[in-house]
Amino acid sequence: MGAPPSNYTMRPVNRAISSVVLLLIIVIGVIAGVSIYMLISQKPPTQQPSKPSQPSAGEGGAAKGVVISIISRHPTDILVKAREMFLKSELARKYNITDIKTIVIPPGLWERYITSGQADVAWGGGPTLFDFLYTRGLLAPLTLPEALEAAAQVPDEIAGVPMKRVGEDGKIYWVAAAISSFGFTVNHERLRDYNLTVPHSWRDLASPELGRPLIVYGEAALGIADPTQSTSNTRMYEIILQRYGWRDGWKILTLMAANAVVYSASGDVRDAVIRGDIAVGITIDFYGYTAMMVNPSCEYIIPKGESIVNGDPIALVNGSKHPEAAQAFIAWVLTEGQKVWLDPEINRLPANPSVFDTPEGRNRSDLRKAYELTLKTRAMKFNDTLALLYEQVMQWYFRATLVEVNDYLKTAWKALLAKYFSGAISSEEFNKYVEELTAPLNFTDPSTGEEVTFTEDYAISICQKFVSDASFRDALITAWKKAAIGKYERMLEELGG
Amino acid sequence: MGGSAASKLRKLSFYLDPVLIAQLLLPTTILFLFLVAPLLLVAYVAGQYSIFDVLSDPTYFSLRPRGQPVLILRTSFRGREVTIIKVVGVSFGAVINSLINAVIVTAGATVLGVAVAFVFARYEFPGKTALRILATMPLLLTPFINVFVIRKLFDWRDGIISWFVCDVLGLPLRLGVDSIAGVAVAQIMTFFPLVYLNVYSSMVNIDPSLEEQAENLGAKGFRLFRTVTLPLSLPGLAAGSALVFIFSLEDVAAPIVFNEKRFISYQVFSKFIEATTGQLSPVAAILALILLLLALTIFASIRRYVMLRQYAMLSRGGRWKPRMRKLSAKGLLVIYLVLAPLLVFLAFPQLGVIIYAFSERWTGPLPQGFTLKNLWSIVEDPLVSRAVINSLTYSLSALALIILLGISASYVIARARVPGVDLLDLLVTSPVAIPGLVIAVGYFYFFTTFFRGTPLDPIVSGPSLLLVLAYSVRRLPFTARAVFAGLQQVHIALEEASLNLGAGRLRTLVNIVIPLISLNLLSGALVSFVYCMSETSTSITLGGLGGVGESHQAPITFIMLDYLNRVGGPHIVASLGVLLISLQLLVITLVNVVFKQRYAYVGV
Repeated sequence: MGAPPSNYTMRPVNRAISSVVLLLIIVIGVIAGVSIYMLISQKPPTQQPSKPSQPSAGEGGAAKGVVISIISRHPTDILVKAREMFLKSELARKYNITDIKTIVIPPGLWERYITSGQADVAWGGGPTLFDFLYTRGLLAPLTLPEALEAAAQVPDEIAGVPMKRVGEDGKIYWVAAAISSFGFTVNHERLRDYNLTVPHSWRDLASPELGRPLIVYGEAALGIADPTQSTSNTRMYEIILQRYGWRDGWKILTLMAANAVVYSASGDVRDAVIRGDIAVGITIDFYGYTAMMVNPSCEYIIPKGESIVNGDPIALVNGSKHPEAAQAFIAWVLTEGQKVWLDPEINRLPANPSVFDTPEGRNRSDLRKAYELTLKTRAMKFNDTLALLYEQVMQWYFRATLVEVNDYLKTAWKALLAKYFSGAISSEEFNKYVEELTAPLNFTDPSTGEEVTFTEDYAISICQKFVSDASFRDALITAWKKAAIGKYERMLEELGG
Repeated sequence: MGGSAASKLRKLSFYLDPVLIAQLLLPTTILFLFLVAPLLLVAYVAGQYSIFDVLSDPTYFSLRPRGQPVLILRTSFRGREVTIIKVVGVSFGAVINSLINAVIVTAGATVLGVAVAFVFARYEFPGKTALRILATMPLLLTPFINVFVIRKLFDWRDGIISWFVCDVLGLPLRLGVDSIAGVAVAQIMTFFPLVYLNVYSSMVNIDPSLEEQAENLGAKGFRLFRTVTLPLSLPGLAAGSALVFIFSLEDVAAPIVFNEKRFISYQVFSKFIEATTGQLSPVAAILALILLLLALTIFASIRRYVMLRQYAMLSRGGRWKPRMRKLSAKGLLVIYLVLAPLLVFLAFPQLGVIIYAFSERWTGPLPQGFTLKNLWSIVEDPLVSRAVINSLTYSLSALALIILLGISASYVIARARVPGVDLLDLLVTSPVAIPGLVIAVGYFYFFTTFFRGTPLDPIVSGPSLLLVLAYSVRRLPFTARAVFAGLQQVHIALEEASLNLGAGRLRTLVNIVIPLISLNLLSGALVSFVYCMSETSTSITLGGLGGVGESHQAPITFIMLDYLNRVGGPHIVASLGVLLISLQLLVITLVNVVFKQRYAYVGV
């Protein structure tokens, strides 16, 4: 095979060097492999001696120090900040807590994490998730005096919404560590660019006016997120459905989706408003406050009488290996740790208002103003139980008919808007078309083969089966998608486009 | 007859010593377990579900286009009458979109790549080295953030191009590229050097006398190029464009950044993300299978260019003094006024990543402020530094396995004349063509089904081990190829001498073969390593299975995606991009300048 190549003349030094490097790589690789193995198998052995019933901060733990694990839905910047502050605190020292391990995992895995004993504290993720954990018996009541005292500093109710879950035994199972309202963030600069007025209600987000940029600039002015990916957006859609009723609620949701870019996560919506990709984005309050800090032309708006206040809980989980240390952390979060929310990159409203009396709190008069505004907000009556009865069905119906086939919906909506703005159809005709476009779907139920309408009762009636039976779920989603596409295409044909 | 059979048997027995058998079995077993089996499982799961449900769903498969490809709007914007030209593309459903997009991207990248390669291969001009470096810049992988910069370039409101045209030049014109078209443009800009490099190496290897003969016979200019030069460069062209096609199909970064869900890759990715909240939808398996079949079809067509044995033949060359011509003044003008700005434009995303990393803010068209804070956060932010350590750990562990597998497999393929070697060759090289997303889906099924509840279950112990295995399998071809090229240059007589003098196979391998190919091995290993560090598709899917926290198991690219939608996050992502760029530059320099290895460090 040809003449001998030049490799034969390779200098011995070169060869030696490369052999050494090679050997090094292999050695380092093996070390790395071993460390991965240790990483994987590190959990069980460290905790062998401590018995679950014993107070872990006792003599046994004194030498080693306690590490507590926190599962969370909070953005990681909150957790990093909290860890940094907590480890310096008095409470951490008192209970000999040397480190906390935080981990952000999807809600679907929480039960597995808790039952396998990998968590001590659950923090953040909204009251719905925590009530679910409570009903499954995965939460433990607060018992540590410091924790109870801290919980007492949090008001029992804010704007009519409970801030604690008190069990039938009279014990506290979760406490709100922060509060939030729901609304939308506007980018005034972009609103001006598009010649739009500032919206003030959910209905404004569904207006043909907000759809005008679709026609004039080929750009959606609104941003929303997929409810199957975002708990905060789910909550907002539930608010709309209860505020306006099922039929009108879906009309608003449909038109909002028609006016909007649908993002996968709620954080994407916030970033899009900040960047100005969209002029309005529906957000939870602290995303709005953050947007205001980052881009001064942003403003968070609470729709009057159309929002609710949520307490975002923290709780001790059942089966915690360090229940005392875990409760010490909870006590810290509810008192001194409330300062975490004041960080200019976090901007959440505290559940314990006394933090505004600290020096750090006095520096954030803007947050205090937002807090007082939220307390004063005319909150609407919200039926949490009702929302839970159809939650998953609502999420997936939304996704199937408004997100996945969004381009069909948009094409029909744009055709309708174009006719309306050009005066080719009257406003009565326009409204008639809108009713048709937004009416709850008629489709064939895959399990019974019957033609049904997507009413509230129907949604509630199938929810159990929908959650437990994956093939029923997939078939239903397919049926919804097809029915939705059929409706949107029919509308387009009627409009002759 | 009998004699020949006996001699065949004798020959076979020569290769059937324990060392060679181990070398044959080890890579075969590992690749079967951690490549073939998971892929088969994907096919099995897909078979449980009706493929017609996917094909009859117009959001996946539709023959009627939706949307207008180009919007031209005359309107008033910011108090001024302007014309807005927005290229957005039309949708035929995710499956067809992915296919059409891959075709468009391949065509675009091929035209660009061939043109650039031709100029560099045939003309000599001042500043050529600088331009050649510029042309390879887009290959420096900076997942997500380079597309982020591309998007910034093409936004019709505050994008750099519109700002330049409308605000600086004062023309009443705003240009934008978004949605499906945005993905295509981003991919063309990223992938064109794959064609350029492969075609370039083909072109410099063409026997100059062939072109001279054609010239003597009267062919000139474009005719010469079309009838002689281009056909002779076809192997490089085929390999380069096939790779672009496959990379475009499996690319998930551009669809994510453009928030464009109507692609197979995005659909598989988003279904995977949902899987952590429950179970993986069987539709994901079907889509993954479609992705796999498309990629494998393309791979089969270029197999003869990428398999180890054939590759060695192709990459030989450089025996001729290539035909270089000086350019006329007119030609130089074209180079400096057209080619140079074009290359700067194409390399802009990578430059933009660097600018992003060092700037305090970049909200409008231009960046503001200089800071080292973002770079510092790689060390300071515990989640980021943890990710860097994770990636290093995984990549190094994978590398140990890659070296072991690479040496074993290549040695067997190069030396042993036993049946089944071609199959091993195919197994070792095919990961180039297998979309990472499909591997991720396969691993998810494989490890959560067969190892449920054991430490190998990623939901129990996190994804570390899965990532090491995925990296090892996916990045094996780089090392295997380098080792094989080295073995081709070592005469077998040297090994035979050692064997004759009584050394065993193992001793010969360790004392004779490996020292002789150590430079090749090291170069290949470094390339594998750097592509492990920047691996994206399995990292952003499997990598998230353990959650995110101070002691998380996610690699760099997962954290890059996670930080992308975080306030101020893109700057940190860009810093990680700079880290990856530096690593890649270091390796390229080591391989090309220090070890003087001549082979394409990317792609084929």
